[in-house]
Amino acid sequence: MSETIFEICDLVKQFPALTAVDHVSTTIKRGEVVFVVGPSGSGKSTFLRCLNMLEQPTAGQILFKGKDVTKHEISLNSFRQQVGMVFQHFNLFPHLTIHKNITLAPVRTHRLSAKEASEKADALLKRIGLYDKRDAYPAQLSGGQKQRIAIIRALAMNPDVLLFDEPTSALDPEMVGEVLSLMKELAQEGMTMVVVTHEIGFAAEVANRVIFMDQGKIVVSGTPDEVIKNSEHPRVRDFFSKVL
Amino acid sequence: MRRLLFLMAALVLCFCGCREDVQQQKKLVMATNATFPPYEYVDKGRIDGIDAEIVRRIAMRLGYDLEIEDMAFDAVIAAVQTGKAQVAASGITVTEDRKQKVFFTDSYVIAAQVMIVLKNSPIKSAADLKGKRIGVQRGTTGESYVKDNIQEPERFQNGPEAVTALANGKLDVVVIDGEPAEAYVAKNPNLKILPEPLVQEEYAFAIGKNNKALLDKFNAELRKMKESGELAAIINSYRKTRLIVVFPANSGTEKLYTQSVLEQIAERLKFKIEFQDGNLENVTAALNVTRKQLIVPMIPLTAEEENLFPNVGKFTAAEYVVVVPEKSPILKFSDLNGKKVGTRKGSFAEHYLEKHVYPPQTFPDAATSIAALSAGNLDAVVIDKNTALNLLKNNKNLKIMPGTFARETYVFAAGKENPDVLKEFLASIKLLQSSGELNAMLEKAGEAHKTPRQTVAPVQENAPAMTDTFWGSIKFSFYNNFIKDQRYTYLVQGFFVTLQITVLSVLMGIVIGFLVAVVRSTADITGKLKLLDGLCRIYLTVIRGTPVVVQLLIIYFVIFGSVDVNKVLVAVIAFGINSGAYVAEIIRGGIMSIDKGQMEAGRSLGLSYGQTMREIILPQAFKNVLPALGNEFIVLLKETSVAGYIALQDLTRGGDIIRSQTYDAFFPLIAVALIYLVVVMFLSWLLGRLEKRLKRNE
Ligand SMILES: Nc1ncnc2c1ncn2[C@@H]1O[C@H](COP(=O)(O)OP(=O)(O)OP(=O)(O)O)[C@@H](O)[C@H]1O
Ligand SMILES: [Mg+2]
Repeated sequence: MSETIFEICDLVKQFPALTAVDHVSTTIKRGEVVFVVGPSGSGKSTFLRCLNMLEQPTAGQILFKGKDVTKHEISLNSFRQQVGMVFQHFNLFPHLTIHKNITLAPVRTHRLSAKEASEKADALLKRIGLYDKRDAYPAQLSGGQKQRIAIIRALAMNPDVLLFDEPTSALDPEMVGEVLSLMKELAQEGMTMVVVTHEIGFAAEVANRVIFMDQGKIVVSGTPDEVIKNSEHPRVRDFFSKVL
Repeated sequence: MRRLLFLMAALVLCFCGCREDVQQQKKLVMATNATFPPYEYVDKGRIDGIDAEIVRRIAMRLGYDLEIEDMAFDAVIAAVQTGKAQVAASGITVTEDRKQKVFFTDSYVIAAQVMIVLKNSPIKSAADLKGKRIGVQRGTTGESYVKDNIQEPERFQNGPEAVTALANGKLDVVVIDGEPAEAYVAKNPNLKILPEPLVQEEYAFAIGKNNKALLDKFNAELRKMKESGELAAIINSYRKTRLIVVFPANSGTEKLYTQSVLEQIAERLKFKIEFQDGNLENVTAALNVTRKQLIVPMIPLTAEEENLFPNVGKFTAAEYVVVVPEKSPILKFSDLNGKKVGTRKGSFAEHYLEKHVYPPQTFPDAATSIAALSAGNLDAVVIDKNTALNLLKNNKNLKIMPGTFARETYVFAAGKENPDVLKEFLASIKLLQSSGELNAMLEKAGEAHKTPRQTVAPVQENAPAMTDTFWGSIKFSFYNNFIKDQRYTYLVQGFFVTLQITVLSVLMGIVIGFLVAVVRSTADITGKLKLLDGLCRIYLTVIRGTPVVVQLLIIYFVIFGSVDVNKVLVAVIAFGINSGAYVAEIIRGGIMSIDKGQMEAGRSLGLSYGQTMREIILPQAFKNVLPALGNEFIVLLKETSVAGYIALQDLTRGGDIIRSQTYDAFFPLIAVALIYLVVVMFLSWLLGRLEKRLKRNE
């Protein structure tokens, strides 16, 4: 079996009013494509954001390649360099050109030299067919283009894993396809991915494993077939019968 | 042992040597408010006056380098108290209150507080003051006397401002020191000084309570100056009665001659002479003075016009007669027309003939002209009567025509209240005449006129004549406020000071503002830096909760109270710290307005908090707040106008100085306002362009 990227043990995240993530434990291996689904407010985003410590967990452990990143002695910055994140609202830097958006972090964190970063950015831009937007600013791009740039911005860091939080929810329907097909490509290339999404069909097509969350807990976890089509759990059935 | 002794001796020597050096370079700062002639006033950009002169001499003798600081009068005592200045010399009256705060030297003068009123004022004496609008100069004896004995006065920053308010009908009376009062009134035809002074007082220099040594030194020097008569001489030299000569604006060739005559008389009789261009109105205006002023109107006056003056004295320096041969066909003065007439070169007669008959032939002296007449080369000679009588004693072929051809007469006028000065003056001139001195002066003036005395004659700029028409008076006022004595330079220099303060404070404000904003928002976002955040909050509360003037004064008098620092630096620090508080909140607002996804995106890419702040948040925040920042700088530019409170000569203060010299509010204030306006408009335009350029990226 391949290397373990994340090992999550009894992860708890409490907000003053409620417990958003409630004793979650799971393991994510290199090359796995894990989809996290569940009703709104079930704690999917919070769980995902804990994975790169954008939320400070209340309790539990997150082992990243064997090291507990919830401990203070760990360098969060170098950990995060290995964990890319794609946001629902893209969060591109509006004051920087597309090219600069991509190269800023690799250069500033010394993962790549300026030249390497630039070449890598150009290669990635060519790959997704947006090389002509190299010197444009984010405001000049469509939503789908922006999200694809956000994805290659994360990729430019050469991360071990990519986290996606509802990457297509903010897009007009006609732009969803281009983003999903890029994600699919990445999945097929063996990229480790954790994806929070409401695109159940896409999950069924691409996922190695689907996690269903409700009220902060993992209700079921298994292959798409097991979770989406044949779960015995009434809540799970109920959810999928509504969304499918 | 010997070596040790030697070493010690060397050390001691060195020590003494060092001390000596420090002593010699020591600076003595004198605080004054230079709007108080004759004690202190700005003359050609330099502070002069009785106080300045006395202190200058004492400082020189005590081995100090004197530096004179001009500031508001109510700041001069504070200046010595805080050590900003070592001595305050500003016509300061000795009072019990002030004695609590500072040491006073022995008094060097006894002065009076007088009342200035409009000419037609119903106020006749101190008894009428009750219930009137009384103006005083802030911090003066006049202020405390009126407050303690009459009622609350209206306080003004300086004398000229109070007088301007009076002239504009905003006050009924101004209570102020006697001597500057005369100077103020001399320039304003509608004002007069009441004959009875309100109160008498003593002037002395103020020295800090911690500086008894300096006080003793000052007193010792003052005593010496009193004993030697030097003190009286200095005061007299500044207080000389003024002889104001008013020429018509288009005076002819006789002007230099007349100037020379009067200059000699003034010098001989110890008057201070001033030449003015103007018309009859100026003469009457100049007369509105109670003491120590005589006017010589060189304007031809009709008998009626002479009646306008309360006290007029005429003095004929010389009478000119016509000398002709015994059997001359010239029988009356009108026959001289077209004849060959001779006279002494440069004499009054030459100018007179030129003007009233036709150009005469001139001779180096009277005797030569008489010789030429005897030889038949001339038809007549015009010379003064005494000389003629002398020369004709031995010449039976010539005669003096009956009657006086021309009189060299000077009209002197004095104000209603000082007939004595006029009488004394005329008596003195008569003495000069009978001793023959006056004749010598007339001759010398003629001589001098032959070689133009450009260097001695005061340079008369081309003043537009004061006219009664609207445009004429506007033109005159403009000339008077800006061109005359190059007054515009006050605005130019002030403008550069304002610019300097603004630019430097803006830079300082940005630095402080950025730092504070980053600390504050870091505390907000991450919950760290609590202590620094607390300090920043205190800074913001204090700075935004107090007026900038008060901050400026605190920084100048309290924080830098006993240190000698450049005042521009003080202003930059004060305005920089002040502006920093506003900039901080503006930038913090900008930071908070940036979507928090930007910070998360940066951090999720592995950038540190600082890197994300610098590379991602601040550039966007800055762009967002640019209009607000620009506005803050425009506000700051205008706020620096209070720099005058610490006696910095900025643009506003430059206008004030002009006002204090011309007693005219309109042009200086409008000019100052216009300059600010133009700069602000320019800045707004610049800002608009900058914004547009930044927007292009989006
Ligand atoms: N910063 C926060 N402070 C307090 N409560 C929060 C915070 N973030 C999320 N929550 C709450 O935690 C719960 C889980 O939220 P989360 O965003 O993880 O849900 P989700 O499954 O992603 O829902 P959705 O599908 O709508 O995105 C919700 O009830 C939400 O209101
Ligand atoms: Mg969510």
